[in-house]
Amino acid sequence: MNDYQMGAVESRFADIIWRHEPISSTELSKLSEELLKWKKSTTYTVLKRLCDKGIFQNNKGTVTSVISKQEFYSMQSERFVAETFDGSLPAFLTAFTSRKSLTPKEVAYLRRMVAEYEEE
Amino acid sequence: MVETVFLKLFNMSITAGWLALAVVLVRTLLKKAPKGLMVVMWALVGIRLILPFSFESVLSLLPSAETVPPDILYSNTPMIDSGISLINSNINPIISESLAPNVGDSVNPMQVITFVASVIWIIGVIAMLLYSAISYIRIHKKVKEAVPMKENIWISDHIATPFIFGILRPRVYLPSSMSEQDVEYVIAHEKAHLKRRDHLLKPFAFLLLTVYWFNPILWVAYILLCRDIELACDEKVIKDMGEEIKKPYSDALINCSVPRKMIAVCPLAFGEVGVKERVKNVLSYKKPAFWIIVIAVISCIMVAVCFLTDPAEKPEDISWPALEEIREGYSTKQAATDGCVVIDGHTLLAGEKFWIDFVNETKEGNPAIVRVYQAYSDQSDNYWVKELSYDGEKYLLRYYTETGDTNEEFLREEEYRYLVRSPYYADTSTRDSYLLADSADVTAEGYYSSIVSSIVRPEYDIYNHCYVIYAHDVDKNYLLNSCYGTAFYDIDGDGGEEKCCLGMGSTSGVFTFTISVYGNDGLKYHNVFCTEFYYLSFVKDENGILRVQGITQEEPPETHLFDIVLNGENIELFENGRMIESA
Repeated sequence: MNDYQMGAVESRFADIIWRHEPISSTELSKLSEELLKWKKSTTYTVLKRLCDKGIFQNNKGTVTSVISKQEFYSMQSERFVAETFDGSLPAFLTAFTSRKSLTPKEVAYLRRMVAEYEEE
Repeated sequence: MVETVFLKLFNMSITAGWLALAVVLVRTLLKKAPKGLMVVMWALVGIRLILPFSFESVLSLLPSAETVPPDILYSNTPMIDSGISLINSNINPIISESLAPNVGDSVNPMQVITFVASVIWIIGVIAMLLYSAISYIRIHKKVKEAVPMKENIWISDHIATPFIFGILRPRVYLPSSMSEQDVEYVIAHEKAHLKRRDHLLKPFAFLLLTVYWFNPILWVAYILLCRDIELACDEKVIKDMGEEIKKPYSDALINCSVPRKMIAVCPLAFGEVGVKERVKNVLSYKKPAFWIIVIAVISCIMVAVCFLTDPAEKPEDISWPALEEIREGYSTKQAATDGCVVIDGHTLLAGEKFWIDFVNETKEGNPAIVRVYQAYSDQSDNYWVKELSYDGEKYLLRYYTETGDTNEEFLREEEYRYLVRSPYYADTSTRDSYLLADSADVTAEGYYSSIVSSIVRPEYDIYNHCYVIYAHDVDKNYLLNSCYGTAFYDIDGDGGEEKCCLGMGSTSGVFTFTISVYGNDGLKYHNVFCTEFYYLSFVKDENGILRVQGITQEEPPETHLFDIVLNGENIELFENGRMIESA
């Protein structure tokens, strides 16, 4: 049951299936390209992942759901990000901020610093 | 050859390192300056790393434009010139001795070391490139599943922090887990990056770091560059959107730094400035006062002028101690440090470069000066320090020497017209000799023949007045020799000074000495004299009259003075009216 986590992007894809099922995988990849700008290979990759999680199934090219949308969301207490991020970003990318893990104490301190800031 | 390329890059990284240190200093002093200007200064470092040349300026503060000269690979005495005497004097004596090529070696140790270093360098470059390629591919895979939001902004489940990816068609990628109120500010920040072209600047700077990975100062420069880029972007957003967004912007910074799910402790993203510093910087941001900007711009220009330009050719900065002061206690190490050509017995120890420079300069008719330190450490602690200078017309050799057993030291000055280079082949070795002479016809072969010849032949007498100051061959034999003395004196009253030389005659049974006089066209007068043994020298009295002085070797020694008289074609010497016998 822990497996049933989907990020916001994956949810969009799942929505497409739930809305149009049963749908051929070819049709699905066409729709994905139109709505999500995904390549065919990407569609199949994500589809396989969701099938492996047991949410959908792909029978000889036809995709249907194993768990319905309502069922799925009722099982979620909180939306998690499937964070496959395993390290820092490459040095040459322009990122927004650092990935230093802040302790709750540091977070609290910083939030207070911002809250108490008064423009002079 | 890869070694030459590597040495060039090594030197360039050192000069860039100096510039980087200057930028770090300015950055520390001008904390209030707009960070965008700091990025410009880092760009100067980049320029220094790209351009293999620059132009010279007296305003340059760089210690040296070429710390490791390329000829170090071939030199008998490898030396560096860091521009800082303390470093030079500590490193050069060590490497000159231990890394000098040995006879019989097939390669030069310096070449071997440089080659190995070049190989290591290339391995490092490949490693950095591999890291970049692999990272690029990983990110590329990760953002395959991103979906577009608007314009060039995309959303992805699998990223934890917003970033920009792509060189030609850059895209902003946002984590799907970001909260709505942060999105606006993050987008503003990333758009500021795009406007400032940071998505090109940072990878390019990293590319430079890939080439120059061996210089730790440049890593520091890169890290600080990354920080300044972020801070400059923060400042730009605040400037554009107004200072009232400081709080929500800072919140966005904090939010994006807190991972929703702690998988593992993520290492500090490379080069990224801590959230605390960013928040502090944002909250305290104020539009910089006009005069701060002015100072910052002026500093930037000054750093550019002082460190982008190369130091001008240093004038002959001779730090030699006076000849008078080094008559005692002057070691070979000290002489080498002071920039002398150092010779021990027949072996050249250091300073070959100075001799070569001297020869090249004087060949072109330019004045030059060089010092030669000569010692015979296997015989005694005696040494000579000789100073050879050229004023454009004549060579002057100056050194302190003793006379007989009076042990009285006096300064000897000899003038010569020519410095002749003449190879001499003896046995299987070749001696590349330099002779100080008054005729351009002398040869090294003639010189050495004259030494072994016990019968003075007039044509060899010319060699009595030569001075072999440098000889180089496979065995590195060096030879110095001299005559009794020389002086420039108008002996025939024609208005022009001739060069007068006292030389050794043959010594078979009878002591003989010669006087040879050279005019501008060559030998004018030549006479041989038989007499008792004297220590001979020229002396000039207070009226400028030249005489020959001879000191006997008896106890106590007697000093005799001889007047010089020109009688037709012959020179005659008289003491108190009595003439010395001619041979």
